[in-house]
Amino acid sequence: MKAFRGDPSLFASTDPENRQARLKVKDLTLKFGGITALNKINFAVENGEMVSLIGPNGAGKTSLLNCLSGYFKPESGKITLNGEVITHLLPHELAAIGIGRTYQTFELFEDMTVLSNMLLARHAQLKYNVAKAFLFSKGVKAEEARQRQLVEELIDFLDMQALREEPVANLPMGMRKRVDLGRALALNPKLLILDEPFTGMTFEEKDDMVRILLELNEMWHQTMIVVEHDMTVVMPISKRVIVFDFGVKIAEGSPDFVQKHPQVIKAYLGEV
Amino acid sequence: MNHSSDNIKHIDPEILSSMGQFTLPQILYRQAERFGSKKTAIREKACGIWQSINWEAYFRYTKHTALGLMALGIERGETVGLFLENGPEWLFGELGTQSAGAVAVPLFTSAADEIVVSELNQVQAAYVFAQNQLQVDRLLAHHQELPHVKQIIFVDPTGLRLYEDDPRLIAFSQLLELGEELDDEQPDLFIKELWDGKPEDMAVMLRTSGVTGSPKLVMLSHANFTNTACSWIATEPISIGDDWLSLSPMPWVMEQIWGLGIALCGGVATNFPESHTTALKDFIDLCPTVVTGSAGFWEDLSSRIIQAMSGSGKWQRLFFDMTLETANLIATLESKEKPVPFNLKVKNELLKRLICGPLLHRIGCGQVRAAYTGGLPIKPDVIGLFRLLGLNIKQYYGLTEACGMVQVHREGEVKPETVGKPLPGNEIKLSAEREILIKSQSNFMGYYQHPDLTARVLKDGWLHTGDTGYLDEDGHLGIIGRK
Repeated sequence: MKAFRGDPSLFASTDPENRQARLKVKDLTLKFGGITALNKINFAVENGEMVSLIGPNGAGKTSLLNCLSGYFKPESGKITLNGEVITHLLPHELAAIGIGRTYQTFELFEDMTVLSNMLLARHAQLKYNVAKAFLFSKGVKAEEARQRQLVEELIDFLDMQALREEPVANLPMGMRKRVDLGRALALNPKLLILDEPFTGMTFEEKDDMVRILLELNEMWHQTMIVVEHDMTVVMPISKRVIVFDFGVKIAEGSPDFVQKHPQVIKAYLGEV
Repeated sequence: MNHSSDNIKHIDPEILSSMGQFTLPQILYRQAERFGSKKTAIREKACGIWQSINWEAYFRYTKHTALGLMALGIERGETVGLFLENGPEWLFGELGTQSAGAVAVPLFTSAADEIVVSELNQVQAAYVFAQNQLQVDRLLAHHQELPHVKQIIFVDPTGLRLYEDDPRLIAFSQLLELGEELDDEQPDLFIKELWDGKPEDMAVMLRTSGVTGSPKLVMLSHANFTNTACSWIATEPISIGDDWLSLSPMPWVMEQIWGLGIALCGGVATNFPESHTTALKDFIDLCPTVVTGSAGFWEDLSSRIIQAMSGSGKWQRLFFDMTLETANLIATLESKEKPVPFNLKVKNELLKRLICGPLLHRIGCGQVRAAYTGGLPIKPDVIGLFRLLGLNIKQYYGLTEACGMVQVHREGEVKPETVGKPLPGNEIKLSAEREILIKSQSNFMGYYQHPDLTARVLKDGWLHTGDTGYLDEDGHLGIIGRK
């Protein structure tokens, strides 16, 4: 009897009070030398929402994500999470306050197993210090077992039981994306940011990913931002879409509204 | 996992011979009293760890499943569909159904929608257990065509939270809660219902294309199950505390007879892999003591061994060939009842320890006392290879209409080209056209709603199998093919 079946304790809805996420981006500008990557971006994400950011290649989607997760420091503007300014926090500080992300290009530890990669994300939440770890006391053992249990529940949710001992380097693209997602979830994020989660996937893998993302959002109320350039996957699952082009936000609204927006059509298809 | 030989013992023959007087859930009740919480009844791999359920808990879950069904309003004689994959819930669901006096109808999760719908309609199932969202969706999609289904009980709630308001659905955990509540209200209800069951009552209906070609439902009683199981336990090296891994789909008669018959009567622990993708890993991890596999399973394993050996280094190949050669030589000498030279014996023993032992461990067969193959004819070479490697693999013959196994190779009397001798209490004879006829306590009750077809295959207590065969000089049965 799998007691936890379909109910991993790391999910947002198990701790709704502490997992609130309200993100506000105000007048965000990012420049690389003379190039303006992001120009006065404004948008907000409400708690429990799934917002999609789309745009053609080079539109500035990943630059924005890198600002949100602390890799790039914007020239001007402000990012707030739950009212607190987080613009100048470092990546690990952002991870600690609850921003989890996945990557467009893989940033996993290739030689480590799926399990180890995901356990590593739990490192920040360990409740023992080096001295205790050295003695490998009872408390440390119990804590290790608890962390393993939490990660195993995620593995079950992501249906990766057969791969848990497999080094990441041996996995196909689609599965690596799933490990990446698993690692981000293991951080216990308030806000989950996914950078192109569907890239390089087969049709079936995309289908699985859609199911996982919908479940995370609709059932477990995970607040998330999905960045994707492939409109066909994102449109049917999004309620709100924000479109970028050349570092500027050009449209925001329901998928229907966005698809008919003249500037979006122009950005994707070019001038008629 | 280690199996020390001292915790293995045969079940008391007296207890075994009394099994026929009980229904399967009654046997579970008695085994739970006998083994209590000390022995493991079911193991399921979850979170990468084998999670155990002891006999007492096994009984408790079954009881609460039965009471839960009663709380939903199940009546004696109704039918319950089991649209489940192999797992503890299959056993709780099936035995719970039978405890409530209802009949279980296991369904293949791999079957096409139309087949599942027509089968559920044929038996007018009022309750259906479903494994997960996929099965629930399939049932809901055909809801119009399934007017008899009152309630769908789902095991895995992943993805089903969004269906929460649907009155047709209930989670397995909720069913157990309902059962517990009813148990508190009427503590005697379960025991009363349990002992209302008779061994000659129908226990399950299994789908087979078997003897007559087109698919039909075979009705099997509790007595059919206990008879096959007990004669198997009495003949074969099966003992309390053995580990058996459930690998084939559970609506298959072999899986039924092992999971509900042999495991229950013989006190054997049933193990379930984590998922079908991990089944092989879990098999190696568990090191079961008894293994059942289809002919395909063993053929696949043997070709993998041969392939791996042919791709290995010169020395490995040399030793492997030497091992087979020596074992073959000894087998030939023994079959001709000639003495085996001492140096050959020593060589064989050494090679067994150096080569066979590690090899069998690698494929998860290091602890196996008996391995079985059946269902389809297997190549004699395959059995030959495994036996030379020191794996006690044997072939059986049986069919759904005879509640599983009828014939098996006896210990020490294995002929790869035959299917051995009949189990005690079973009789075999050949008709003038060489058709195999079986007389057994395990012969089925009949085809559901097809008395005409039943009469065609069951005449004067003899089951006409439609298979043709021959009996050799030692009384072994050989199978030729279909009539």
